[in-house]
Amino acid sequence: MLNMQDITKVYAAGLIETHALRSLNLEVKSGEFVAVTGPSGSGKTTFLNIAGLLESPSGGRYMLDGEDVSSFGDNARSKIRNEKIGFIFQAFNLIPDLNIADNVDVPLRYRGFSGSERKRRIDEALELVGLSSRRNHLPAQLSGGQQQRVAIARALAGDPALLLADEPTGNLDSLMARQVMDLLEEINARGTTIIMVTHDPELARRAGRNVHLLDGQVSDFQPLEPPPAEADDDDGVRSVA
Amino acid sequence: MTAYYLKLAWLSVRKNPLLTSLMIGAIALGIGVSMTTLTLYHVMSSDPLPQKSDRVFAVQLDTWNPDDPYYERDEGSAPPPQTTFRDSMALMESDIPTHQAAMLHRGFAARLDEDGARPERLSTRATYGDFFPMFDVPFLFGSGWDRNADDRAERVVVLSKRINDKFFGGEDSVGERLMLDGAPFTVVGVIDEWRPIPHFYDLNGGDFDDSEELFVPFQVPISLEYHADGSTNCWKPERIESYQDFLQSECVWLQHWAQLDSDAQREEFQAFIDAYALEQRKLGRFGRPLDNRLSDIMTWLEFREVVSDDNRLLMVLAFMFLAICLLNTIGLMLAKFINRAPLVGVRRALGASRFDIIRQHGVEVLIIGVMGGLAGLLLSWAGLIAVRSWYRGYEYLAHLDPAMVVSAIGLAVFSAALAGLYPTWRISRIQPAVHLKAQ
Amino acid sequence: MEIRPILSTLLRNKTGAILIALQIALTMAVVINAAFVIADRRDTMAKTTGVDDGNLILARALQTDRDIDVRSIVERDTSALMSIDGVQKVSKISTVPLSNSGSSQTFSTSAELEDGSWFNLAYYQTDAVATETLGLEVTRGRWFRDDEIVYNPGDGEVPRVKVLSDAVADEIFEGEDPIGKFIYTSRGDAIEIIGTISSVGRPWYNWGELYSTSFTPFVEINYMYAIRTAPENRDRLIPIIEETLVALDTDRLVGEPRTHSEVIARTYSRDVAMNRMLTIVMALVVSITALGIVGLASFSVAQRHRQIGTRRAVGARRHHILSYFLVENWLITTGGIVLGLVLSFALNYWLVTKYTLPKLDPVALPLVVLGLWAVGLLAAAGPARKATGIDPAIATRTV
Repeated sequence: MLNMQDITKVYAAGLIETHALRSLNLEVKSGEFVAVTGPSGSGKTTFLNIAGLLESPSGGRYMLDGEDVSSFGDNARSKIRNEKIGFIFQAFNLIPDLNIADNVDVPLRYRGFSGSERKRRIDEALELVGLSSRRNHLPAQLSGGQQQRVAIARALAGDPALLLADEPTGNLDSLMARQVMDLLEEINARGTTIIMVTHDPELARRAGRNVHLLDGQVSDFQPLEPPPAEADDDDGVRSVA
Repeated sequence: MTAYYLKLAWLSVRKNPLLTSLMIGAIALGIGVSMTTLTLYHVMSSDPLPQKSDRVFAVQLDTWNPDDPYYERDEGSAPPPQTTFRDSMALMESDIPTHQAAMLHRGFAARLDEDGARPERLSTRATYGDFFPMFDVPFLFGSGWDRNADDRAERVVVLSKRINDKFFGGEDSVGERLMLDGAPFTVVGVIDEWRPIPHFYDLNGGDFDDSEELFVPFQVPISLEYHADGSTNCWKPERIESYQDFLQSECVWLQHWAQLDSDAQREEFQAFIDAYALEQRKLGRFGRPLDNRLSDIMTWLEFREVVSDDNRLLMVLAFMFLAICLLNTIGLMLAKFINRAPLVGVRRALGASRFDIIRQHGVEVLIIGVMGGLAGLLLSWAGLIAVRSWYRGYEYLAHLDPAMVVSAIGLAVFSAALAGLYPTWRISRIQPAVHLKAQ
Repeated sequence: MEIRPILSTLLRNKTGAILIALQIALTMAVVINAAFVIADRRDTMAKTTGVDDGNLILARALQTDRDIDVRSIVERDTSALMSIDGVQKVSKISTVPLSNSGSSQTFSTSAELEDGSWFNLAYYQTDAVATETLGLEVTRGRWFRDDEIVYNPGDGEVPRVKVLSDAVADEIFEGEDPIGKFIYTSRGDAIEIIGTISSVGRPWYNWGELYSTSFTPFVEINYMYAIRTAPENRDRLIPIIEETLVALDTDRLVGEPRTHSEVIARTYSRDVAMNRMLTIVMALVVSITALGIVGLASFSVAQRHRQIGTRRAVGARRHHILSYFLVENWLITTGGIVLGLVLSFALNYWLVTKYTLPKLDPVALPLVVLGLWAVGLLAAAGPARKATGIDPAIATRTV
């Protein structure tokens, strides 16, 4: 699914160069749920930006879904982001002026789907996150957990092969956080590859694999104990171990 | 997709009504002020006889004082704008021009004989019968008069539509009688609405005068020993005791026009005039270097500076004002767009290409442009009402015609697009990753 | 307040600053040149006519038949007009100052025409009581006697005496007493100067020396009546005067009487309108620029919310924040003014060469500069005050 070889990223600010990533190597297989952890400044966000094609690496090779995307231009990268990648952000990043359905609609618009196709996908995605009844609400009218679920619906509506989550529970209380994590696990179980950046070891443990970043490099592979199976079911979503 | 961008633009307009109205207002003011002055300029510099203005010529004979130029400009070489009686009469003998007419302006006291109403002073053009076909004057009833009537100073009159309405209730009045300065005249024709702008054939009374109410043969006021109401300029110290002295004097007071349909015809007439001037030199006249001019209508209007310096100055200032409004709009749009960078970052992350972002903001810019244009149009309309009320003689002048409406909206959209270019480019170049972390 | 850090921040975010500076520069060029034109027109319009134009009504009665006794008709009309309650004096006159129609004639100071110097005199032809009607003061010599007035058609002679305006008399005779001296027409006729009066302006607007005017004792049948009234009666008398002139002879053409002030206003109408348009453009330019400053200053405050919060958190007082923004704005305005100075003179130079406009008088410059500084500071004051209200706690919030 994702294969990074010798990826480097250098930010130049005046005369000072900052090496955010140094020769990072990582392979993620289709259907995996990978948590990327590491302390502040370890390069987590840069990794995610490069993985999500928001930034280009300074060097190295990045294969996504069998394509070498490291040298893609802006347009091609936009297309890949739109078709193959779904984003979930810590701050949800919903568009405040658009209602829930229209927020989920945003990537579908850029995809160029027909009206009926978009409607079908919006319905499906909102159904999945259990917010069909709120489709006409504005983001500000929802709780944080609900907003993040809308963001997840938006990320999933285009049927991406890869879901990138950046501290998806960082702005949520623990109950809501757990619901969001349950949802991510269910999505992973349906076959979507997920890479999640987090500094929370508790969350990381629920992923299938942990990658630890330190100073812009993968430091160590940590074999994981299987996450505890939970039967928390208040949203009608069952986590699958 | 356009519908989608229209919706987004509308949401954005609604979200920031104050900022949006400021932008629309700035564009509207810029458009309003520049279109008001542009319309004035457009009308002032318009062609009063578009179908044949390059074939109709003002005749200028250089009979002026050899020692003291009439005009300071052109190194003082320009001939006077009017002709003397004796020269005009000599030129009228030529049958080279397709049509030719000397003319003067004068008031006549008019009334119907029957009613005891007080006479009314009506603006009258005394000219040759050729005036009507030469200037394509439209007739409602009857026609002008022929050369015989010209030669015999027949007491015939052509009425304007307004006067025919007033004296004859709009009926066909050909053959009816009208008293002018106490003498009976026979109506031979009634012209339809006719108001060349500018009033090119006689600029004495103001560049944008009404056309005359009555037309009579040129020799009528001459036989009555009338002077013209326009300007009479004399330079030569000569004894003028009688009207005959005046007619033979070097005073210029007549307008003289000729229609010359081909270059050959024009050259022939120019040669005729120059030969006449050289002939007259033997009598001690035409003392200046040979500079007799045939100016077509647009050249003539330029020579007479019908578009005043005031109007040009206003145009310059108005377009500087528009530039200021545009700079203003650029600043406001930039502020608005950059404020929105995080949301654009989200859209970029979700797969919008740069071009998508450019289109989204381009649509918004155009909407602001169109709204600014419409508001600007309203302002120009109001501005022109003000101009009409402030300037005497501009009543028929300062109107928005369809061409100007289209140009106003075009100018507004163009201005908005120009103003939106840089902000749109800037917002399309943002780094999405930078804006996704912060809230 | 140190300027260097503000300046370096400005230089790093220059787009907004450049936009404002350009606006101010263009605004300055427009305002200075417009104000200059306005002042120039005002000066022209402020010149006095030398006659009591506020209290004069002008009326015309045109006779088309020629076999008439001019003197008796004028006397009949005059006594009818004088009998109207509120009319103080009536004169027959060829034209009035600033009516934009009149005549002038060239004279020489010497009977040997070529030896003398030539000068052009506008002339008013009028009667023996015109000093009272027009409100003129005879300064030297005397005004015309009744028996000197030539009536035309009829009398068939040409007057040989003139009264000059003070200013032009002094110029022609170089301060010597003009009374009893002669001037000569281009045909060599000698005209005696019998008096001078307080200077009267020319009939035309913007043509010829303002006060090179003269009076001649001559009355034609179709000259206008100048009617002097008390100010409070003026407008009320207009229809009465018209009726009176019509009633005396229904066959003649009586134009609607006008006040002299109205005639002057018509002559100046283009200048008045031009000044109005320029004033409006000036006002709009300044307000648009002020609004632009408000908009961009608000934006720059909004963008620096957190930075301002941090400054406050580390101990900046409210007035520090306020002065930071005001100084920043002042720097931008000043940059614009410097550019505007260059632009103003460039525009003026272009206008002077292309059109007939006088050169820019730098006297007004400091005033415009002060004005623009004030506008800039006032416009920035609102957003800057808002910035002082930012909560220092914002700095410590994570999102």
